[in-house]
Amino acid sequence: MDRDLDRVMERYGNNLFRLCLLILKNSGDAEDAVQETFLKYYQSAPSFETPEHEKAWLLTVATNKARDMYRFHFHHPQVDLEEWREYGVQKEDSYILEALTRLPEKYRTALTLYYVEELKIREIANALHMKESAVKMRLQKGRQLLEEIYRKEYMV
Amino acid sequence: MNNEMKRAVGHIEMPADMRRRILTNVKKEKKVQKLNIREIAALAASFIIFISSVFYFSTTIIEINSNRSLEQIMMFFPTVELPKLMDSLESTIVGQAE
Repeated sequence: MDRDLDRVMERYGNNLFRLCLLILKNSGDAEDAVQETFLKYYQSAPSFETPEHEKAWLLTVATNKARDMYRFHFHHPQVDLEEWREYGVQKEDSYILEALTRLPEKYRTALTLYYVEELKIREIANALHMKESAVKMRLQKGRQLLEEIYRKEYMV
Repeated sequence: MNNEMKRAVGHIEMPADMRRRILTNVKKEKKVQKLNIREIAALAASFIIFISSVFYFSTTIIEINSNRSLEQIMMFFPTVELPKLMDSLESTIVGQAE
C-alpha cells in the first residue's frame, strides 16, 4: 500500500495540489485537503478499472474536501502573485491565474475541473453533485465572468 | 483564454517538502488522530448538553414534587446527601398519597 501511495503521489500529487490551491487559495489549507484525500485513499483502498477512473475519484474527493474546508473557514487568506511564482507559475501567466482566483468558488472549481484537469461533464456533475445541464450552465457563466474580469482588470 | 488558463494552472507544482510531509503523515496516519479530536469535541459537547438537560429536568421535577426551592435542592447535589433527599422525597410522596 505504501508503494501504491508513492505512485499516486507521483502521478496525481500536482493535479490534486493545484485543484485544492485554486479552490482554497491558501497553500496550508491546500496541503491539509490533499493530505485528507490521500488518507481517504489509504483507508478505503479503492480498486479502479482504468487510470482515468482513479484520477476522477481522487479529484472528486479532493474537490469535496477543499470545498468543505472553504465553507468551514470564515477567513480566506489569498495566495499573492509572488507566492504563485514559487509554485512554478510564469510571470506572464500570473494575470490569468489571478483573474481565475477572483471568480466565485463555484465557477472557479468547475472551470478548473473542466479546462485544467480535463474531467468530462459527467464526471464533474458527479463530483459536484449536480446535473450535467447545470454543470454546462456553470461553465458558460464562469467563462463569461472570467473574460469580463480579465478584460476589465488586465487588458489595457 | 481557455488554453491560457490551462497553461497557467498547469505549471503549478506541489513543493517537494510538502509532498514528503503528506506521505509521511498519511503513512503514520497522524491525520486520523487530528480528525478524531474534532469528533471527540463534538461528542463531549453533546454529552454536556444531555447531562445539563437531565439535571435541569430532574431538579424541576424534584422542585415540583417536594415543595422545596431550587436552592434547597441544589444543596444536596454536590454532597453525599442525595440519598437523604430521595428519602425525604419518597416520604413526602407517600405521605401525600396517604
